[in-house]
Amino acid sequence: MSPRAALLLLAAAALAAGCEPTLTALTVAPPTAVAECDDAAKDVRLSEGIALAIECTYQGSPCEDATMSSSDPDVVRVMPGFVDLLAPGDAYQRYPADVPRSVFIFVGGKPGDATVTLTSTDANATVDVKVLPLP
Amino acid sequence: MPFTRFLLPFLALATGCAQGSSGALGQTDTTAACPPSELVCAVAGIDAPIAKGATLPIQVSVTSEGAATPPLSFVSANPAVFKIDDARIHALSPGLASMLITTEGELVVDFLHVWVAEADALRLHRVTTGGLQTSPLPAAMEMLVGDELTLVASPHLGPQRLLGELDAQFEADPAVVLMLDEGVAGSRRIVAKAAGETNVTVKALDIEVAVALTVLEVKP
Repeated sequence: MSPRAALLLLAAAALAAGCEPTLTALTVAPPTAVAECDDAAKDVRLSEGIALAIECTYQGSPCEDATMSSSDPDVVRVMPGFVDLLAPGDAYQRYPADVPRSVFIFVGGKPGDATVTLTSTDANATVDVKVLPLP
Repeated sequence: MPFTRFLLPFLALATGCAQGSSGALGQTDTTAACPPSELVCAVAGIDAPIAKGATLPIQVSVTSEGAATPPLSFVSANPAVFKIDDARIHALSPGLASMLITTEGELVVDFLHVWVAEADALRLHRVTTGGLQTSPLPAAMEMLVGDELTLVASPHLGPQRLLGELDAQFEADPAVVLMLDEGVAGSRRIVAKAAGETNVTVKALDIEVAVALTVLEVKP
């Protein structure tokens, strides 16, 4: 591969990476349960009956007009969340924002696999969700 | 004035902002719904598993600055573990599940992970005039004719006292004591009626516990 082609490929990869929204877990699992969000792999592991709050950002700002839908609500239910009740500067160090943060609550249902589709004005993504039985 | 009544205002100050269990998103506080006199209960939060078969009335408030509490609904993330009706958690089977706190439009403002556990013991506690409960009663007690004693049955698992109101049955010799149901779940006011001995037996959650009462009469 020529240096020019490698450079083009690198630039394309950088552009493609920039189109991905970032998913960040805002909460943790209670003892014995699992509630994890892997942004790089765009997958979520969750115990049945456990909720996990996930924030969607795009280039550092809240994902705009974001919605999420589950392929199987019996496995994972996704509900919109609202986390802007607290004033900035509290113990959680929330930043002031011109627009509400984009947060969704994933709720584990019966054990199994499902996909959650994220659509927003900024970018779209598919999140693979695995719901695990509690020990 | 009983010492506990004197203590209550200081307890309120000492607890400061530690009012109940904070939600995972830090926007709500959840406590058991308690009478105002039971300050320890009101500030304790959901600080233990709920006993399987018991019911826990809850109270949730939003802790944000600049916003009063909006209309709220409570949703169980696993109705096999617990269900919620009319702001009461009904513990159905041992396990763990999240309680979602939502407002209009199924918008989640917070959630709280809640445990349900099966009790392995039932213990009796005395309710004082200040509403506070002492450590579990001994196996035997003495009363004078005319004395009163309010008992409440509470579920335990190992060293931990579990939460929840119980549907408890109380039995004792009616010739020795009167047992008044004052409408508080799992509780009776016991009035010593005549000299004698009786066992106050309490059954709940398929567990039985008893305290032996000896009622004495002071003769002039």
